[in-house]
Amino acid sequence: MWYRLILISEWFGEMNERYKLIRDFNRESKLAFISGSVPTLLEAKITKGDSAFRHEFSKFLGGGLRIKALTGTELSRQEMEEIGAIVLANEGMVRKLIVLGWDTLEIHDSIGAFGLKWKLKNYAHTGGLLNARK
Amino acid sequence: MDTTGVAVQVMSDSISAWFWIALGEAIVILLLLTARRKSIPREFIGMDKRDMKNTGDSANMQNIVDSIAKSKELYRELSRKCHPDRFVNTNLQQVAEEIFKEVSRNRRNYQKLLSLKQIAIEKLNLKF
Repeated sequence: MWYRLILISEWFGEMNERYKLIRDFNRESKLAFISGSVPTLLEAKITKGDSAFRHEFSKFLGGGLRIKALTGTELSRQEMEEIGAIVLANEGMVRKLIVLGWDTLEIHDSIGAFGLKWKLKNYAHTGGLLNARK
Repeated sequence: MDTTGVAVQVMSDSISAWFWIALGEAIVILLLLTARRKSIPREFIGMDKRDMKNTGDSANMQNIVDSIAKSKELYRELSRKCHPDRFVNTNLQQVAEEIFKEVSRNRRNYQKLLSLKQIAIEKLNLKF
């Protein structure tokens, strides 16, 4: 009974943390765009992600983190790759995203549905820990 | 048999039919759920979510946005000024090599680059 209650409270805590992460990104991105340090306004939002990238912490219909250009200069493919690489280079961030239920990172341009996506699990570097426990 | 008896008989037949349909649906749902559970890979078994969540200060969104906006420029500046070739045949060459390696490793992390810039100012006596 108590275990169930703890699980439910953890679930609500995680949802809160997910939305806080999105809010933080959007706020910082907005401030950077207003101050002129970035030429493109970026927006983060939750999508359903790619079902092929799922793992055991994946949230049902909420496994994708999409960073999308809203306005300003269009993003080239190199710029999208660079933004993806910046997020994926931060191992702590990738682990946090995985634990909070995301499995796919998507970077999209403002025009059309063109975008790139990455499987987050490949960048978490948890293999060492798992192998040590086996 | 009177009309009331017939009505009761028909109702019990229909309840029985609905019961079997519902049972069949429940079995199908259970099978689908089991198949879905099996299809999800289990790489993170034995890992505690709280341990993985404990990522320190590096996992903040301000750092990510700053890295997107400013890390490239700062990396170029640091790699140019801290390049070991500028310190050849001096006692700072070893330090410069170490700083340069760290700069290259953290080229996309603005927070780390800022701390490396501070180290470069202190140890290599550089001015930015």
